[in-house]
Amino acid sequence: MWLIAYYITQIVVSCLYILSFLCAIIVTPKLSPANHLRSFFWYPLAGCIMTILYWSKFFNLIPFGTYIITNKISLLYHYSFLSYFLYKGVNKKKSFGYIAILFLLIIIPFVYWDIVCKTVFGFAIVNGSLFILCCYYFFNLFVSPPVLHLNKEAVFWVSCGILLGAGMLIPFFLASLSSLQITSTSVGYLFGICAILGYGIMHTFFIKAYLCCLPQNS
Amino acid sequence: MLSSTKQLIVALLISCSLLILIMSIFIILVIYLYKQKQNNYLNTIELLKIDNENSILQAQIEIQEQTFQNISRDIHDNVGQKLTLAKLQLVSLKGSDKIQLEDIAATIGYALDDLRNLSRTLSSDIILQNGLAQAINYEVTQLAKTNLFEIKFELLVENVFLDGKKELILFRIIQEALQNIVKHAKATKVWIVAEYKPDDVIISINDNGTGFTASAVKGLGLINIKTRATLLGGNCEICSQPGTGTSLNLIIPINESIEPD
Repeated sequence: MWLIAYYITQIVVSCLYILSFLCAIIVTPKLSPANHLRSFFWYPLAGCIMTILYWSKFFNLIPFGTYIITNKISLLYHYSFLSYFLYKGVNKKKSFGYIAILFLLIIIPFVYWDIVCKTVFGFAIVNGSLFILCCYYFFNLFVSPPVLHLNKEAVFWVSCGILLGAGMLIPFFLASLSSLQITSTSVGYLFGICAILGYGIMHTFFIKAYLCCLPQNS
Repeated sequence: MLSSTKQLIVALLISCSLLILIMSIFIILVIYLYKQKQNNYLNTIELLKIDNENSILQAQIEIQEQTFQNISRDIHDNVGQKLTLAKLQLVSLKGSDKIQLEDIAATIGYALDDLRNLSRTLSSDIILQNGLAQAINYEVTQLAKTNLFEIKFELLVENVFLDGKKELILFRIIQEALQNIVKHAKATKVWIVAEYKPDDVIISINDNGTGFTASAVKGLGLINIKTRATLLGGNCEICSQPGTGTSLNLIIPINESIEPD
C-alpha cells in the first residue's frame, strides 16, 4: 500500500515538475532583464532532468548507482540554488562574503552528515536554512517600502512554496533527533511521500510565480 | 513494535498536516497584514498628493495676487499719472476749440476713473483694510454703475472678519462668478447674499440669466471657483438649468486653515 501511494505521489509530482518547466520556458523570454525570476529558469530545468532520470532508473535505463550520485548532486544544487535565490530576492547587490557563508552552511553540513555519516542531520540543517531564509524574506517584506501588487511579486510566491516544502519535513527531523528509532519501512515510505509532496507543493507555487508574471491583457 | 510504528506514523501525519495548516495560516496572515500596510502607504501617498496640489494652488494664487498688485501699482503710478498730466495740459490750453478740448479732458477724466477702479479691484488692499463685506459692496457698486443689470447685496448678520488670505480668495471667487454673469448670463437681476454663522460663511450669488447645463460647461472659470472653494475647506454648489438662471452657493468654514500640513 505504501509503495502504491509512493509511486502515485511520484507520478503526480513529476507532472508538476514538467508543468513548472513548461511555464518557465513560456514565461522566461517575456520577462524583463531586471526581473529576478529570469534567473530561476535553471531550477525547473534541473527538476525536469531529475524526473527524467528517476523514471529512467525506474525502467532500468540507467544504473541505480548513477541515479543515487545524480540525486545527491541535485539535492546540493536544490539547496544552493534556492538559498541563493532567496538571498538575492532580499539583497539586490551581490555580496560574496554572504554568499560564501551561505554555501558553507549548506554544502559542508550536507556533505558531512548526509554523504559521509549517512544521517538526516544534513538534510535537516539545509531545510532549516531554507526555512530561516524564507522567514528573513517575509520579515524584509514588512520592513521595506511596499510594492503595489503583492499578487504579482514572483519572489513572494517562490518563498511561500519553499516555506511549505521545507517546513513539511520538520516533524521527521524532530523525530529523528529524538530517541525514536525510525527504522520502519512504512515510516521510510511516509518520509519519502512527504518529501516528494513537499517538492510538489513547491513547484505548484513556482507555477503560480510564473503565471503572475504573465502580462495581463485587459 | 507494530503499534508503536503505527503510533509514530499517525503522529507524523498529524504533525505534518498541522504544520502545513499553520504555515498556510501564516501565509494568509502575511498577505492580509501586507495589504493593510499597502493601504496605509497608498493613503499616505494620496494625502501627500492632495497636500502637494494644495501647495501648488496656493503658490499659484499668491503669484496671481502679486501680479495683480504689480499691475495695480503700475496703473496708479505710471498710466494714471500720465493721464492726469495730459488732462491738466489740455485744460491749460487756450484756443478757439476750448469746448472740444474740455470734451477731450472729460474723456480722459472718465478713463482715469476707470483706471482707478480697475487698480482698486486688482489691489488686495481693499480686502485687507476693509474686510470682505466692504469689498463686495464696492464691487457691486462698480457693477451697478455699468447699468448692465440690477444688482443687490444683502448682508444678513453682522460681519465677522475671517483670516485675510481666506477673505481674499473668497473675494476672487465672487469676482470670478460676477465676471461670468457679465460675460455669459445676459441677466437683468443679480442678488448676492452673505450670511455669517458661528462656524461658516455662506455666500449665495443668484441671477435670472439664461442658465446653463452644468455637464455641458467645462470652463476654466468654474473649475477655478470649485478648486478655490476646496482649498478653503469649503463647498461650492452651482445650480443652473437653461432658461431658469443660476445660483452659486458657497459654504466656507470659518476655522478651517488653508495652510497644508
